[in-house]
Amino acid sequence: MGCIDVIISCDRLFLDFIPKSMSDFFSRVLKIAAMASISLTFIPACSSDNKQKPISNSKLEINTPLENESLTQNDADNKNPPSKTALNPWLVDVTQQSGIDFTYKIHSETAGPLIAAVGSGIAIFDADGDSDLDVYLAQASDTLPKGTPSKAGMNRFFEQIAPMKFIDSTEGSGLADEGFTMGVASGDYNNDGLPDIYVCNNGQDHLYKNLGGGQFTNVTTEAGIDIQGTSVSAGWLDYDLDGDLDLYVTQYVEYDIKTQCTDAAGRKEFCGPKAFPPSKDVLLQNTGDGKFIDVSTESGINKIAAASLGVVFLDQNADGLMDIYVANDAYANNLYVNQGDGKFVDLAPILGAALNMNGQKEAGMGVIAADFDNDSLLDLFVTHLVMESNTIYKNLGSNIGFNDTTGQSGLATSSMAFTGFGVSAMDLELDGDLDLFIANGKVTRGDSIFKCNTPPPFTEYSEPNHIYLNDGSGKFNIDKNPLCEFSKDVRTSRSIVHADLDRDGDLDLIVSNCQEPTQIFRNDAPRSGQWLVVDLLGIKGGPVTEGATVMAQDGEEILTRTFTTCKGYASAFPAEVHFGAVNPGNNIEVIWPGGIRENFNIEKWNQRVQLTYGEGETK
Amino acid sequence: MTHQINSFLQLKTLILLVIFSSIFSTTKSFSQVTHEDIQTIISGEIALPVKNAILGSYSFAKDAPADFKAQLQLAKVLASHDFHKWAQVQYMEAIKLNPDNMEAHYLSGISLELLGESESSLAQYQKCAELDPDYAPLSFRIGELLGRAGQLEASVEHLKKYTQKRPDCAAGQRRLAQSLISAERYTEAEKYLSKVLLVHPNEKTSLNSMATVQLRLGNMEALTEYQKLLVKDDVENIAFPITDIINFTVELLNKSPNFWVEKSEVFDKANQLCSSIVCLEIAHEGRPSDPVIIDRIGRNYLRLGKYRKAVRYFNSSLNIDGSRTITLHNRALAFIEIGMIQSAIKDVDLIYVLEPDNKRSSGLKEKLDTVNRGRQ
Repeated sequence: MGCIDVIISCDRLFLDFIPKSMSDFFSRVLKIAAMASISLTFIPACSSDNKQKPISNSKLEINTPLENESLTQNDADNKNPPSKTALNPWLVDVTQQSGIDFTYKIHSETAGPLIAAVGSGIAIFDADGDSDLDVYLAQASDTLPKGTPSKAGMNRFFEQIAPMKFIDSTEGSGLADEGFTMGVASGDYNNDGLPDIYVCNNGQDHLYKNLGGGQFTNVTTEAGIDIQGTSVSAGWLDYDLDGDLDLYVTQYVEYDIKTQCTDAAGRKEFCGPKAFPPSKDVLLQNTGDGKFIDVSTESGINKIAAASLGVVFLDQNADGLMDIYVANDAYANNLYVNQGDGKFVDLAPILGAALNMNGQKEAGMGVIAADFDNDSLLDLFVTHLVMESNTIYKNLGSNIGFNDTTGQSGLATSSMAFTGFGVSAMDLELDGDLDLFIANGKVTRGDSIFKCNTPPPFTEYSEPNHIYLNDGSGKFNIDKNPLCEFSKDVRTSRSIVHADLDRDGDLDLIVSNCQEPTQIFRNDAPRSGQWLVVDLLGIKGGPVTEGATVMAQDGEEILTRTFTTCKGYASAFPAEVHFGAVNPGNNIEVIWPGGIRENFNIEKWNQRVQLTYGEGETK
Repeated sequence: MTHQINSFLQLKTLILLVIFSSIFSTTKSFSQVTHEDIQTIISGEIALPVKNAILGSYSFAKDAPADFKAQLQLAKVLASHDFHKWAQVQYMEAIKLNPDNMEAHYLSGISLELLGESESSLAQYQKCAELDPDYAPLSFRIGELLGRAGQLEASVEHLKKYTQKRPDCAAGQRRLAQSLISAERYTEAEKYLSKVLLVHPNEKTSLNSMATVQLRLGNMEALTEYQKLLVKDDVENIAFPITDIINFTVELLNKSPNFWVEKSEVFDKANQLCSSIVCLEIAHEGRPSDPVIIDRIGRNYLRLGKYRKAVRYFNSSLNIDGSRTITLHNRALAFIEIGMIQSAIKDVDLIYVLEPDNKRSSGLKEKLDTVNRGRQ
């Protein structure tokens, strides 16, 4: 019924505008009949949603190997996918069985505090070096009323103990940050082989050093980090090619909790970014001895104050240096092009990536740099507010720039009525192209209210999430029905991160929501091809892995993916590259930061491989 | 087999019943804003003046279901407080009563844009364009929406229409150039950007767009020149984004007539006469007996070359205050344009009866006297 409810309510919106005449009556009959027939077709799929498939014992026993070993269980899955038919839900909500019981809670009944609407990041990373992925979730806290148990207001760390089975390991992990957290970043800043965690707070940010075995310690002060603003996203990159990871932190606004906002009807409303002065982003240079220095001024990063939310890194001009693209809320986006001398110049306006095709600034939230049309160039995709579409900037080539091709890509009209935050680009059904997953949730209530169970203050802010399937050429179709577990739920979603949580070769999803539980979706989509997960390993004195480009063949196509944890919205993705391909080739090319290219030959697909710097064939 | 067919027919009948019940329930709930809807809208923490405005407008609309203005007014009030979905219902009621009213279609289009319903919005704007093909902002809106939908060539055509209708509007030229860049028609884009930069040499977005064009045309020297200009401190911005237009349209319903008269003057100075008329029409709603506002509307129609329409407004203004020599002067000009010379002469004669020392109309009087003598 959930699916039908959503469809009818969408249709009602449409019917509102149809005058009551007989001719329109008949057209309405046809429209509703068409809608109803679609809904009914998919009732079995939706109905079966509640019947969760038990995780087989054999799956629980899989110990994920690296280095060219194949996963026998996954090979069997590929040859005979028993339940993965088009009529089954492609993404199954397995939250309840997963052991992740977490709700991002704002302790306010009414709309108002801007930071409450910003929402919460997710980090998926291998915290304890056991080859499976663990989850770290951001929590709000400093609006907690006095006397509220502190556990409700701290970030939580969930350790994976078996495929899709997690336990809350926050206590004793050292990761129980009690700040008002919005974003999370993971990266190995001290090159000890263990991913560390950076927490973006409203207030003091924190850096947690990974001690191994799932233990972390707060090293913010000794690392020389003192960021006190409203940090939303952070990402690790080696901008100066010195072999260690530097840190970029987006800063939103100079937030003042006393500022109150109302909507046109006089109701309390979440303030927009323009209610506050915009903040300037921060670039921290890693000095290599466990310390960081703030180079925002010398690098030219803090020339611009622009209410930044999302950030990604890409080598736009193929010079081997990482450039920085920042999605700004209600300000022009920035593309800081790395000049190679420690300085950056914002070339977004000239390169066509600052404004949309109408020359308008948009409310940039989440951002992805990915090759959507398999032309080996990284395009940019930014999520936006209602009345603005999400925007795709097609990369026309190094030093040529980008064109907003949202309309031509089929992504404009379907997103205009929604507010997109989180975004993930992944190959859902292993057909060799990247599909898009958008976490939606309003920041202004408007009057198009979806039925939902979201508690206040977000009851009127919830809306369904979206899936766009890529047709292989960079054109997308919104998908509503077969995958309805993901898109039927009406929540106020914020972040979305993909990861192969159960190590079965396809990518699963985690979605964070305001006032409702974080959801885990298992990928049960029918497989069109094979998969490959690439893990990169650096060596001492060599380039970092973060920011490397990995390319694989799919027939005539070259699939290009970036090895980066920093993408989407306020979140950290696992440090691994995933490919799906229908006609996979055995050659994998890696372009390491700095521009060194290496070719690796792999025996077969449907496996995880680890590629080490220096062990490939240099071009 | 028969049993199976019967079961199938029963299922089909059931499905049809469900479909029809959905239709009727939908029709009942959403054909017009009901008392229950209004109660829903005003429930919660809505400010008291907003509640009163909505209740008052609803009361008029309910008591005069066949009154177009009453239905439209309720729609406007709902829209002005961001209840666009309900406003949309009311716009449809108003449009049923007066299908050829451009304002209702236009405002409906704006509410639909704010709801993110760009396709339905486009349909409303296209209906407006049928009703008044000369209303330039429509070409602009249609061009933008088509561009957003990926129909670049159609978008370019509409934006070109806009620039033809409003050749002095730099923001329009710039917008067209941006569409041309998206369509990878860089040489044409350069032409329009050059026009903008002639008038606004330091306009930042145009300088950026021009730099983009030079980059993509491979004119690296020119690119460097534009980049130099961009780092200067005195770059300006002439952006006229949709949000401004929409905020302006939504905001308009809350403001005093004086606010809109002042707003119209801003548009007058920018030679954006249609926008100025929209402002003055709103001011006119607030002060229907103000001859100055009506005269100004007429004057803008005169400047737009819509002489008969201008005369109608001058008539209305003079009906309220027949001693307005400015209006008589303007009406005389309109009469001349449509060949009603005798009427023009009468107006000018009346000016000199009312103000024997009038200097403003002396030139016009001389011309008309010459024409009159020639005729005699």
